[in-house]
Amino acid sequence: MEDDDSSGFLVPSFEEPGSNGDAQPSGQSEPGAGPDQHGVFQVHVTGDVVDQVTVHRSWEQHYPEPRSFCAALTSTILAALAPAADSSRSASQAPARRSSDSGLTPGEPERWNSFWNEFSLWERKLEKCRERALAGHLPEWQPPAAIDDPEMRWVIDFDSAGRFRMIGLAPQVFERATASKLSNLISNALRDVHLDQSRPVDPELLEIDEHRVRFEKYLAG
Amino acid sequence: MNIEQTVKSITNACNKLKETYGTLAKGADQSLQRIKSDIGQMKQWKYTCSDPGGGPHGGGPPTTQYSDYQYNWFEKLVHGVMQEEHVDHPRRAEAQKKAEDLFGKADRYEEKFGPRVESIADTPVKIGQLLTAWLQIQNTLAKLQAELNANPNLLIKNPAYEAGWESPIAQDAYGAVVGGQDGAADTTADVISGLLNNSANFLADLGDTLAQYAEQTRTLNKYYTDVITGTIGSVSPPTFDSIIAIIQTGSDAVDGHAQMEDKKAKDLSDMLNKSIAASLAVAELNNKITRLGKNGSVYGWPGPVAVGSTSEHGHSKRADLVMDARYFTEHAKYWDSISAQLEKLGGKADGVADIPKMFVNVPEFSADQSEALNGLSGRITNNLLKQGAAATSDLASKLKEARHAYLLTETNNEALVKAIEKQLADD
Repeated sequence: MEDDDSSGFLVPSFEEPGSNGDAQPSGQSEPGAGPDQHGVFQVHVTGDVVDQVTVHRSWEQHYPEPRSFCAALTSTILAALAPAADSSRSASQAPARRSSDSGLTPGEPERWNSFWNEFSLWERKLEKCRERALAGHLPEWQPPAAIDDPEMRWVIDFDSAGRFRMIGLAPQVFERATASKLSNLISNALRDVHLDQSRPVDPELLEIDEHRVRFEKYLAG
Repeated sequence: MNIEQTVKSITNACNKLKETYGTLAKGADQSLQRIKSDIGQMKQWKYTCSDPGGGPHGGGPPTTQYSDYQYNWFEKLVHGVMQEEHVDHPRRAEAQKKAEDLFGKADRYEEKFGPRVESIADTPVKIGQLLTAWLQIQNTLAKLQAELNANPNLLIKNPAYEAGWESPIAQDAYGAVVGGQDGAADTTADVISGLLNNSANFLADLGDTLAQYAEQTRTLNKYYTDVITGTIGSVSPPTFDSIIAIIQTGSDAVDGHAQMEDKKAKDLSDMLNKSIAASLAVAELNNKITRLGKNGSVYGWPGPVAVGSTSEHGHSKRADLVMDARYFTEHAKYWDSISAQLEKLGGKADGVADIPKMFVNVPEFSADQSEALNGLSGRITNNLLKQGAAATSDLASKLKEARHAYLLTETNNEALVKAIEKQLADD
């Protein structure tokens, strides 16, 4: 196998995180840290999308066969996604909480009436939601199917919660492969793929949560 | 907020609080069914593989692998999968046991907290019912009181006697007999008003506590909803890890609720014990009853005063004597009607149900205030209203005795007195 990268790592020309005005958090795997003890992979992510994967030229020395190579690559991607995905998800829930600062300043004893009104609405809507679920009337959600390369060189798969589970590369990909070619193939495979395709937050539940925010506000006085 | 509004608001809050815990228990049951159903669907993929070593060309005896996920083509390739089967999950029983432990724990807490919440929510409702009954009594008494206060000298309106008492002796005799009766009515009205206002203030103090009790169901309620709607970790098909994660979340929510519930009960007791003296002031109201003086051996509505003959003489014209004597008769009838009204109120007050021993399931609480309220309510019924009915009835007979004494004093003539009394009886 030949190596066209004298420095060891490819230096891809991808946009710096945040430079396009996108406020999504970004992450980067630390070479040698985490599951890839040898620092073979370097992964850059923005939100739940992998922007670039670079493979060190020593890959064959440490991961000589497809299973261990793909297992280490998968672990490195998961490690890079974890903090970014978490902050991304919590940000998506922020609107419901922000609305709590709507300046509610009820006096006594109207405060209780307001509390009970909001609490009852919250409780009733939750109960309705449960009834709809039990009657099978809530929208069905299925985890995404695996994404296959049309040429069967790679596969990206998700767990049943819709989150990235693994990436696999066909054994023939490794034949006469360079670090650069592997980097490009993997980066292209992952480009624009959202790796967190978990169940979207139900707008109805967000609306119900607004009542919770308000009754807690009334209770706090 | 007036008393009716406070009662309505608190009763509403209590009913909603009971509903909340009822809804929570229902949610727990539905949630358990959902988790059991998920556990029943738990399956795994069983793979018989030819190559445990990893490469597609490896050798060795076949091995068996299990996976929560169906292998994709890459995984099948690298594991050398020869056979794929979808089988029941071997850890179903373990998951089932964990789910039963969780909901068993929730049930045990429910057995503890259910009656506690029922007790907490029932008592303010009973106080509200007591206040509503007393409000009706107060309204009737207020009319009676207004009637008495509108005529401070207790002169019965009668066009034939607009001039009023012509004899100072008759007026003094009448005043002496009825002395204290109008004051007793005022005191009764005051004490009832105090009972109502203080109880309403006490109820108002409970507003925050009831709201906080309801609020602490929030986490569990949301958890049950999330389980039932499948918005937390509940994946399809369910995996062992996802089920265990859901059960663990539930266990934390149930424990958290239990801790909050115990703390809230303790806070509630502390708050109530501190507020008894401040908001009820039952002792002060009891003192007002006591200050009315004794009627026989019982403190409360005073009895009428008996008036005997005096040595003084007033006018002696027969027509004037008959007119004054008729005043006594008319007033006797009037006090008879007052007595009948008080009797009716006493009967109504007797029907007001006692407040149960408050928060019997909150052992730190002393239950003093329910006993104090019941005691005060009983004293108003017996020592004021019923005793008032008896006293005013007695007043009517005392007035007839006073009439006789008055006539005797004025005329100093037994025969004439008898003649006038016969004339009044024949009228």
